[in-house]
Amino acid sequence: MARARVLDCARHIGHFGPVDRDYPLKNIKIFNEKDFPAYLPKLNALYDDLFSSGKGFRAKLIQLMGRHLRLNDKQELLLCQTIEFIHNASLLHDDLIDRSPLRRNKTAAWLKYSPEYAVLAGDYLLARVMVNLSRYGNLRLIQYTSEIISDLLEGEWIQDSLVGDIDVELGDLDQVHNLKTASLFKWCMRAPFICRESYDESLHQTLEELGGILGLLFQRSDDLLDFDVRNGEGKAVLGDLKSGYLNSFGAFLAKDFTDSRRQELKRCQTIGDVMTLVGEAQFASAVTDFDKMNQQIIDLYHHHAQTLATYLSPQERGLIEDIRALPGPLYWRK
Amino acid sequence: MRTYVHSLDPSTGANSGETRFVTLTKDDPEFAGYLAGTFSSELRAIPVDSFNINSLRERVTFRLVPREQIRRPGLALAIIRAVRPEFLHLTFGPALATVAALVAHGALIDGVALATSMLALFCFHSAAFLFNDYNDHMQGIDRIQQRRGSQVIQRGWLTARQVSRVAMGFLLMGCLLGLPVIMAHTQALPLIGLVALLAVVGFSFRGRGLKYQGLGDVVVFLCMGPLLMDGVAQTVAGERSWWLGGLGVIFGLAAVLILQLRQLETIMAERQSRSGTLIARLGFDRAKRWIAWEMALLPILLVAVAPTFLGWAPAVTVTLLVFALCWLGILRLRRASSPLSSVLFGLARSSRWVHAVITALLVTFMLLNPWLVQLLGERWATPLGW
Repeated sequence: MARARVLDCARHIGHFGPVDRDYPLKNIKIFNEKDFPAYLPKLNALYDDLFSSGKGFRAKLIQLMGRHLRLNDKQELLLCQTIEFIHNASLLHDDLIDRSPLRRNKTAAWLKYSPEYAVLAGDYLLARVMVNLSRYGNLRLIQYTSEIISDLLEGEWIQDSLVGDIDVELGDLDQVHNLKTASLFKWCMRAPFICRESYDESLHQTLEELGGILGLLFQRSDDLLDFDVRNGEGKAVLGDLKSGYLNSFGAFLAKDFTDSRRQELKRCQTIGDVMTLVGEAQFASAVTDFDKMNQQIIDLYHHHAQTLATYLSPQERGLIEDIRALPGPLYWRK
Repeated sequence: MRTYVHSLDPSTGANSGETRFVTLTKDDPEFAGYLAGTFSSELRAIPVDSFNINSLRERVTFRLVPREQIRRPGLALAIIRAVRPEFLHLTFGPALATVAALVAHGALIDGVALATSMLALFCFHSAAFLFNDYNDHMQGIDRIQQRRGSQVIQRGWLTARQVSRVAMGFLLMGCLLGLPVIMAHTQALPLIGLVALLAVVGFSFRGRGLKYQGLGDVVVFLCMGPLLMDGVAQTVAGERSWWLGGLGVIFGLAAVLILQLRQLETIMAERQSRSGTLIARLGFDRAKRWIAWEMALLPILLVAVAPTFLGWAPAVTVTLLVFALCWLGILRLRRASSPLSSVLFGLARSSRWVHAVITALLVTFMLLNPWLVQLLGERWATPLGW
């Protein structure tokens, strides 16, 4: 029986650093079967599978922002649902494009149900986003959300065109990630302000920069996980490489490789193979250098966070402390 | 203006010491100073984030780095890097081919005019690339795409002000060297000189230059092709020839190919910055086809022009080699399935070989022309002349 899926955010309070316990994060129902037609076969079962797992990080980020900006319950729900719907729609399509058999350690939707249902389910979530936003009636929010979906798809398209290209460089991958991953984080930063009708351009540029950096850090951390670095979650490794895709850490590691060495890297099936090819000392050194590079980006993030303070009222400035703490869980996986 | 200083915790493995950033908007009175590098003699402002480039709402975040911490080659080497020596063959290739043709034709070469015009060419070449770097930095194009330009400003090796001053110096020197020679000749030559001057200054002028209006390809074609060859021929020997013009078309097309391949490498940034270049307007797929057709056209033009004046043996040799290189280029272009494909990056570099091969072979065959005619007979090698 399909159940409403509740994001129990109370358990995750500690993951975002200092939090005012007088204002705990609320429970949010991301997926409610009543919002979807019951006569469509397998739709609710598919969504039940999809939304029953996952960290819901983006929704939590919305709630973090919303709590300080004093958004009401309806606004928070709208924004949380919007971002999770967009994110999960992209996951449904991604798994089919990549022919990934698993998603969050469960059978991927395209395999469990059918490729057609996976595509349509993703499309339906995006349609649902448009319905919900248009009912809410904030035109700027609709406009910005559609731009973000467009960026996300652009990033997906470009990323797909790079599969098999083992010579791609880090700077080029950053362009992809800025579109694909960072766009959703930018939305998480900006949408709460748009929702409460704060449209100052400089404010939004600062939020855009913050979101962009968070997205980049998140992606790079994920790419490190793929090479079993700080892999506390025990995720499967080398998934990107086996799919023929060189991720950001892979590109950084291979930047001085000869053509033949790059081809050998492409053929690696296990982390052991990578270590044999690169050498453990060199691998560790590459991780350190990669971290140093990203620490500079975190410094820039802190600068923008401080800039944000000038746009907030005294009651809202608690937000700064919370967003300054985000690189901890996002990048360092603390 | 807001400046924030962050002391970093060394235990995080980050850089030691402070990292300072400044975020400025265009209406800030200090914005221009930071962008041009004139705000401080001890610090360099490295742009790390740029928003709304080339607009009144532009906003840039700079990372402030003490000058002594910038790892830079010496000043001279930094300027040499900015002058783009890897593209010198685009300017001197047609010039050398012209001189070789004149020598083979038996024309009287004015040695002084030759020396001064070659020096002037070098100065104009340097000025053009330096102005391009300066303008593209100030407009933000080179800030958002690290493959563009020499990046000497973005790396902090030189300030934008230094680059523009060196550019102006080269331009003045080029005028001093070249204009007296030009003005001493026919009426057509001053006009060519004026066009060249406009091209050097106006190519990327303040983000509204010729290249952003879609005319960059035309400028490069003319100024690194027929206009250049005609100008050199008139300057050093007082000669003009339609044959040299035909050869200029080939050099011009080869130069345009290099320019367009470089634009294809950065087509995403070109589109995002709403650049008006031809490649940006065509889009990825059509631009690839356009460039492929140009690559196919190059050997066809060679085989149409060269035999008439060099004879079949030299002409076929050059054409076959160029055809092979262009064919490899077309195959590589077809494999580029993405605007960020690694296949694209390096294709522009490889295309310089096409230009270099054309230059080297034509210059060699023209200089060896009398011996080739003796060796092969006039059936296979033609005495060069017009």
